[in-house]
Formats: sequence, structure tokens, C-alpha cells
Amino acid sequence: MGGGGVSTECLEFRRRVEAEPGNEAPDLAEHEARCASCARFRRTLGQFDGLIREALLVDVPAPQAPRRSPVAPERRTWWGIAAALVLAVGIGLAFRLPVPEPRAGSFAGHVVTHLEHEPEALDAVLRPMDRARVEDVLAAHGVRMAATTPIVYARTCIVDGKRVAHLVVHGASGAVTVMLLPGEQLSESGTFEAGSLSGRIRPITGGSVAIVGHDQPVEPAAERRILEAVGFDRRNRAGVAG
Amino acid sequence: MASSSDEIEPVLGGSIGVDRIDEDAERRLFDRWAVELRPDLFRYAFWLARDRALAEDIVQEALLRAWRAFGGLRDKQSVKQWLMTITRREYARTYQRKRLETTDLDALSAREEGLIAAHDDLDVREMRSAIFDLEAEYREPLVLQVLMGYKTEEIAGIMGISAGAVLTRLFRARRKLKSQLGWGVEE
Repeated sequence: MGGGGVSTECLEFRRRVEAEPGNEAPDLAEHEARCASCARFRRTLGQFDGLIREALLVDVPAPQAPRRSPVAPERRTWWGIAAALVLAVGIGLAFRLPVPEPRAGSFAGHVVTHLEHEPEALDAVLRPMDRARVEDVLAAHGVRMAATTPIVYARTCIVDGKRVAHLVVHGASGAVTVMLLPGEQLSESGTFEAGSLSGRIRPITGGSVAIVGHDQPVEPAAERRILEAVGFDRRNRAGVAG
Repeated sequence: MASSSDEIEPVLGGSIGVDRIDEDAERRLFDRWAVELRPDLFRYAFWLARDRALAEDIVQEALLRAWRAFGGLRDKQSVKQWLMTITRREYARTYQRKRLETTDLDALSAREEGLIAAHDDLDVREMRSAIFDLEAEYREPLVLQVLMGYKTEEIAGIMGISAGAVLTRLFRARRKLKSQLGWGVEE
């Protein structure tokens, strides 16, 4: 080590400090004190990290003139609010019929509450879950999804006292939440909206499904692809009428 | 952690309980945190999205969401990490909405060429370009560690992966940068 050779101990030292240059563990300090080569390695690494830091410090632009003030929404003028309301109502009347908010206590209402409390599910679009884990969750519910369905998140959740498979599908139309309720055909079906969520609940052969879009309604084609991809196993079909 | 949020003093002074301050004071407190932490949030968002305009939008949306939820916040020491998490989530929402063209690196690089080149030092410019090209899984922990000063366990918490995975990514990130910049990988 002192003579310039690189031992296993040196390799371990370098591996650890290269991951954590600030690591001041006693064993690392002790090795550094008696190995000139590794001490030099750490100094060079410090210079390298200084360069990384300098590179990451990109110029920060002046704050945008806020489209919406984050700290004082009440400062918007009444004229602005009135204009926005008129525009929103006009667009709403012109292009669509109102979609109801879910009734309190309905399954749709429970779905909305659940999604509001589990926002981290959407993080999976950046970090998709292993397909094997997804398959485990699907199997636990007696559910099959076409292998080509881009499922990035799957978890067993309790919604309205019922065990459901909570999935996030990240396809060409963006992220869509799919909740599968095997073995039960819900009496409620139809569309709902709540805040940025908009969805549809419908019974299908062997169970029920809720398909929910975030920030935008799910495109009909995307909904159709999801419905075509879902299949409940026979054991779920036994107790329900298709 | 050398976090700037640790250095922020409460607006009313002393060891106030955040739950006792009135709405105006809470608003001023949030304002102050937002101003102080905005540079960190912007840089974090920029290095996630590699798009300056998008990063500005992400930060603005994240602060809006943060303000709406601020009433429930009780641990001021964790404000920075809380805001970082909201920013990361906002980026995820943007990503899932827009299906960002992350694979079109040439287009991203061309769009942000001015920002990458905005430094007098050639070494810094080359490093900035190399980090820009780094895969997201390596780029993000590097930003959180080197720029934000987070410890490994904190990075693991923000990214939702194990501490071991964070260390592996950080090690590989530096190796990739060294290799790309010709620093040589010493063994």
C-alpha cells in the first residue's frame, strides 16, 4: 500500500469513498493515514466532486410572474375570477355534460379517498415495479393482465372494506390507475370526477373495475385496451353473473 | 446534513410551535422557505427534467401544492426534504402527463446548450455536459448528494430505494463521469 501497490483493502477503501466521499468512518480514516496512494486518491476525488458540484450549480432564473400565486390566492382580482368562471362555465356547457362527483360512501368515493392518500403510487412511472412483483399481486387476486400491459405499480389495498388490486398502467396515454375488485359486481357504475381525478366504474365478467385518470380523463381507446387486457380467473366468476 | 432549511429561523423568533402561529405568520414562513429553497428546488427539478422551462413549471406547481398542504406540516426541520419530495412527485406527474421525450437526448441537449455552456471554465462545461448525458438513475442521487448534501439514508428515502442501491448508483455515477471525461479509473 505505502509502496504504491493496491491491495484488496485499498480497493474496498476506494469503492466506499467513491460512493460516499464524505464518509469518515474510523476504518477508512485509519487506512487513509497509512496508505499514501489512497490518501492521494481521496484528494483527487475531492477535486473531482468539486467539479461536479460546480457543474450542477446551474444559474437559477428569476421567479416567473406567477400564473397563480402560491401564497396569496385571494389576491387575484374579482374580475379575473369572474372571467375564469364565465370561461369555465361556457366551455363546460359548450363541450360536455357535467360529470357527477362521487357520492359520499360510494365505492367511487372510497376510490378517490384512497388515491388521495396513496399519491406515491404514481411515483412508479419513474421507477416501475418488477414485473415479477406485479404478477404476484395479480395472482393473489386471481387476475390476469395481458403481458404487454405496461403495469408500473401493483399493490393489494383495502378500499371500502374490500380487497382490491391497485394498479398503475403507464401507457402511451399517460398514467392510469386501475382498481380491480375480483368476485364482486358493484351495483354502481358510471363516471365520476373529483378534483384532478376522473374515472369510471363498471362491472365486468368476474368482478368490477375502476379506471381513473389523473389530471385528464382516460382516453376511450386506452380504457378499451385496459378492459380487453383484464381477465378474472374462474374462481372469481363462480359467484357472479357475467 | 448541511441543509439550508436547517438555517432558517422561524419568523416569530424563538422556539415557536408552528401549530400556534396565525395564518399570516404561517404564510410569511412559507414565503420565506419558498424563497430560500427555490434555487435548490429549481436545480433539482432541472437535473431531473433537463429542461429549464419545464423545471420552472414543476417548481411553481410544487410550491402551489406545498402551500395547500402546508397547514398540516409540523416538522419545520424536514421542510426542505418535504419540498424536494413534492417537487419529485410533481416531476413524476408531469412525466406521466406528457410522456417526456427522455430518450431524445440530442433534442434536450440542443435546447439546453446555452445553459450547459454558461460557464467560463471548460472543465465545468464538460462536466455539466457529461452529467446531462448521465442516465436518470445515476444523475438523481448525485444531485441529491453533491448539491443538496443529503446523506445516503435520506437519498434512499427520497428515491424510495435501499441505501445499498443508492451507494451502488453513486459509485457507478462517478465511474461513468470519470470514464467519459478521461480522468481515468484508479484501482
